[in-house]
Amino acid sequence: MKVVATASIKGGVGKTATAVNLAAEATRSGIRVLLWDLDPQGSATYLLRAEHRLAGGGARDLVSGESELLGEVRATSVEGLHVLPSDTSLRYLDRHLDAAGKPRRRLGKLLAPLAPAYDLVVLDCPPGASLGIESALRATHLLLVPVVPTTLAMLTLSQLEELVAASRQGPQLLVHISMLDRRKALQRETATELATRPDVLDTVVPNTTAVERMGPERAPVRAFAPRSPATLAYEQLWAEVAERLW
Amino acid sequence: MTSVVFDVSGLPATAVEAALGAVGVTLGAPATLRRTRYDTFDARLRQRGLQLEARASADEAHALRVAGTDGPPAQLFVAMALPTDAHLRLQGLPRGPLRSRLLAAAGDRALLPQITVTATRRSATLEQDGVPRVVVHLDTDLQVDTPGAVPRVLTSGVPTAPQRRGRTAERAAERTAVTGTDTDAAPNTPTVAHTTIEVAALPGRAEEADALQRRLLAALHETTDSRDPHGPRTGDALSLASEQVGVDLRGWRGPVRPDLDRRAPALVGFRAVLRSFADALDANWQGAIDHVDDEFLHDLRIAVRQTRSLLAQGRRVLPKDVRREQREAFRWLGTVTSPARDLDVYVAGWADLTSLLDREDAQALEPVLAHLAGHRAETHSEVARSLGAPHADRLRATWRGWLELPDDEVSGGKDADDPLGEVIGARILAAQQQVLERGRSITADTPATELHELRKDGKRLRYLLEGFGHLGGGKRSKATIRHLKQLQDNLGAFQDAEVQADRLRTALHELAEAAESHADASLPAGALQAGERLATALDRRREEARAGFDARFAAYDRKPARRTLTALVERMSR
Ligand SMILES: Nc1ncnc2c1ncn2[C@@H]1O[C@H](COP(=O)(O)OP(=O)(O)OP(=O)(O)O)[C@@H](O)[C@H]1O
Ligand SMILES: [Mg+2]
Repeated sequence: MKVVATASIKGGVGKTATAVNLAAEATRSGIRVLLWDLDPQGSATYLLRAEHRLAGGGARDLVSGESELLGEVRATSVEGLHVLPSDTSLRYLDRHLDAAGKPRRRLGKLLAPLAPAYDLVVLDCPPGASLGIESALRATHLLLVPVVPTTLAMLTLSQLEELVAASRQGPQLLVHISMLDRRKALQRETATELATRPDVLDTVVPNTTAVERMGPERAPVRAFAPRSPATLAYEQLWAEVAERLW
Repeated sequence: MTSVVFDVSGLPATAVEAALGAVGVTLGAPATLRRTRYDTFDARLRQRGLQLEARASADEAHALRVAGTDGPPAQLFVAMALPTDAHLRLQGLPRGPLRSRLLAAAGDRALLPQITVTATRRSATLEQDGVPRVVVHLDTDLQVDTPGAVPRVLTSGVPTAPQRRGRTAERAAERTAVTGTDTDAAPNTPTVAHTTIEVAALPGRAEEADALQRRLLAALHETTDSRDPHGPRTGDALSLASEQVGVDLRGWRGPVRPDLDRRAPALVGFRAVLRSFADALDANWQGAIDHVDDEFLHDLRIAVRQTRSLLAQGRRVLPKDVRREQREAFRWLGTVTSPARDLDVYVAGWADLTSLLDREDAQALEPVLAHLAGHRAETHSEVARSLGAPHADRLRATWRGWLELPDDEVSGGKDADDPLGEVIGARILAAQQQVLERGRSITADTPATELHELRKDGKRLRYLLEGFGHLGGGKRSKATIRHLKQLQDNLGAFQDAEVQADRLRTALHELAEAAESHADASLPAGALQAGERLATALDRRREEARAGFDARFAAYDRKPARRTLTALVERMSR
């Protein structure tokens, strides 16, 4: 079982869009996928129609082992894609991790029993850098960071890189260009510059209305816009990621 | 995530739709869906809780789908149509978890299509607050196909026996289960469902699925006053159809072990065991001819060897003429199938063999593998020709004819009516004596042929134990077989290394000769040297096995081990 996470210090860069679409693409290539929505905002859960209140004390019980991860798994509108839904109790994830001891190893430990049932776990992280994110990264094989090609985004990227480098068993970090607006010269320039880095994937996810429509449609782009450039981009992005996982 | 299926074939379409409407199911647009289920001949996927299906839908989408007992189903979309009448090539699939899982489960066995169901499907996802709760499928105009290759493999055996008297109902039933068709049952061919409703539970929503299923059943009853529909039952339209047309998805599980009585006449017991060997022979016959995978020929040859061994043991029990004739026939079967099996083993074991070498040497030897693979293809054509010939059919029919005669119509040799346990007990003791005597006489200077003979002695004993050992207690029998197997493994390693080295040297010789006489055939530089290095490595392997023999034999010749065997014999002869 492989673990891929989408994370970035900056908010609103397309982490959830990538996580949801990547997971949906993976289900088409013979992979059993679980998306764990670690963000208390619950965008991925909403987009995949998997809302469900976690049992008992929610995140606290999950982290302590009181309730089982598998028992909280729900189906989505995508066949073959399961979700561990978000819950408002995730706001206190760091506190629960701390209480459980060895917080940085905790999420990895919780994921281990899922191995017979899933080939891939996608972690959709909230923005920022927290204990919860460190714990998630510790369990992750491949960290995918969407970067909108702006100067500010580049700055926060290096902050995340430092965080990964600091942890002993950090994941492989890969960047993909997100929400590229080709009409903006500055973005184009920054993107060209970014593309020369070895850790930047070839796929560029353009700024398109198809991705915006995921909100009202409550589905991955392929479900309602199978031929849009966004669908094609996520398909390619998945191919690039899969190649590095198996 | 279980699903249940209702067979609603007996109900008018309007009633079915009304019932679905009454429970709030609004079906989507109809689409044709063709599903083909695959498994190995011995149902290895099923044993691991996996269901493999190729799906083709009207929009030209082709997918391979694996459902398991945990996790969601895995679905792999592929560009080309998947075979519904030939086996599936896993090697052709893209690398990844799905292929790895299937390879791990199927091993070396081919994935054969078992059944194809085509239907017009309309589906509905019941939602609440936009969240999916239960999935419902209505399949209409169901059509079932059992692909050519499978019944051929499964029903090939059993050339119409002249008589089937003397066989218990259970054996006949078991055969039906294995072969997938029951000719005796032809008059009341089962009717196959043409309309089904499937209710599939989603993870964490089992209760909702249950509730819907109950309401649906009530609604179906309300719309008609007949006893229909049948159901619900666990499963899906495909498993229901398999059951209805008599395709047994449990696969081949080896011949049914006859229920032996140690006090029964020896001849009756011998014939029962020989019949079970004949069942294995028949079951694997067509697969060996078609070379579907290597295991068919392998299992066929095991049945041949077991039969030969028991025919040899059958002096004074089996009728003289039958025994003479059949020993000849089975010797022929052994001979015509032997080269193909040897080369199967060689080619399948090539990676293991060349792991004794470094990469460069292994590469230099590629032409040898190609040469052997060419030979192997020829030998398999030879198998197909021999086993496909009328002579072979006659041979099998004669044998089956005699095996199926009622016991009271067959008379045997002079020990035929002695108690089975006594006769077998004496044979086991004699075989054991032979193993011990030869084994004890082996010293450091004994020629290799003596060890090969000892291996044969051991096989003779092993077949007796495997066929009849349980008459003296299952536990003792298993322990004795285990002891023996440890000795046999050592002798096998010794002989295999020798045979492999010989074959390699022969192949190199043939290739070198060809290179000399034809300008266009060439042997890459280094092949001969690499080959010689490999042969030397094999010689070393052989020597290692030889060095380990004394300890292995001593372990076999220990008093407690010998006592287990004697106790076994005492018990069965009592
Ligand atoms: N390629 C795109 N083209 C157009 N809009 C996009 C694209 N990717 C994301 N968006 C939009 O940008 C917003 C933020 O996207 P998303 O939620 O995926 O980002 P995020 O990094 O997960 O945000 P957060 O940090 O809040 O978790 C959403 O409204 C989404 O529809
Ligand atoms: Mg997000």
